[in-house]
Amino acid sequence: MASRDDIKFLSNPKIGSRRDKYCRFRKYGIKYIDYKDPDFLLQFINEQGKILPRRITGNSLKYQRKVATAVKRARHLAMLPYLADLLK
Amino acid sequence: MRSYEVTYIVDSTLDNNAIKDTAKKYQNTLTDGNAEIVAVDEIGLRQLAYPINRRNSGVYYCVEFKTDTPDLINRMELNMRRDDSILRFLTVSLNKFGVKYNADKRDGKIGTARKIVKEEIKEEKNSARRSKRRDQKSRDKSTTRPSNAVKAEGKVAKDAPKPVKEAAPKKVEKDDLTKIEGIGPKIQDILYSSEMTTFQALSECKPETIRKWLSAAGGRFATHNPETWPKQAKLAADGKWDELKKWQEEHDGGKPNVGEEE
Repeated sequence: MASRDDIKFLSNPKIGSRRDKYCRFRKYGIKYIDYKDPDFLLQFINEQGKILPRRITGNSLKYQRKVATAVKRARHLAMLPYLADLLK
Repeated sequence: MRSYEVTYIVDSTLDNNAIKDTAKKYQNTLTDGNAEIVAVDEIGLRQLAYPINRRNSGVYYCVEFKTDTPDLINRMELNMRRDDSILRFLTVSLNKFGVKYNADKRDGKIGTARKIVKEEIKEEKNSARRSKRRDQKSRDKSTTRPSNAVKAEGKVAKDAPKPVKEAAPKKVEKDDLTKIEGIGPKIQDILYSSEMTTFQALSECKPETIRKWLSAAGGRFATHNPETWPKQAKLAADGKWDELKKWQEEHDGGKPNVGEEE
């Protein structure tokens, strides 16, 4: 049951507060990004198959470059589309 | 010696022998040129993301090799370019991380198991953070609950990598898991790949663990409810087929029939 402590704010205080972004490659110590793993790379492209910017994924510059190369290689090998609709 | 990796797509409309011959041909060019082949990964038939030369699928091969003479690669690529049965190819040089990644992948260290573990870590951290926040907000009550939550998460996290570790590579027998209500051929494959090949093994694992594998295998499997599978598997393992059948008739679709049991 909702006790007195739970009802503290009239509106949800979480709305508006941004979640911290971080570079998952730094955080989990991933050093190599495989271009043959399209399921993994799918996290870094949008529905049209475009590479997502750093401000959205939170990758550090070093790994964003690697992600970009990996996505481009995967496209060349027809593992990811160059252009698409409703990829996800 | 530098490490390289060449991935190429062979035309899938050729017959099986021709595909294998073409794949072998380029491996032979490498060995003839004094390159040392580290590993050959036959990725197999894949749907192409876009049509190439009016083909919609291709057979992927990936060869990791070491060589001192980069000229060899030029020669190999020239041959590939002239070959109609090679749809695409890509040669990349590997740094030490790439070599390590490939070695780990061959040992089975990288794959679905790692992904699950990673998610667990994430969840655990999140819940820890959440509990910390809750602590700050209401100090008096929250001490017991969040710590429990963290403990539970930790337990689950321990459960998840377990099947990978204890998975004894016994390919002696495979039971027909589809006998269990709720398991179809697709889910059976998932369970087989998680080393759950017998009723005995399945009966000893927890529904939560099965659910993990299902959600790791893809979103559409996550909706299946493995709640009763260990129970059914236990009956099957003990050879109580009549009981199992009776149970399945009573419980529609292998789901725990809530209304009846309560």
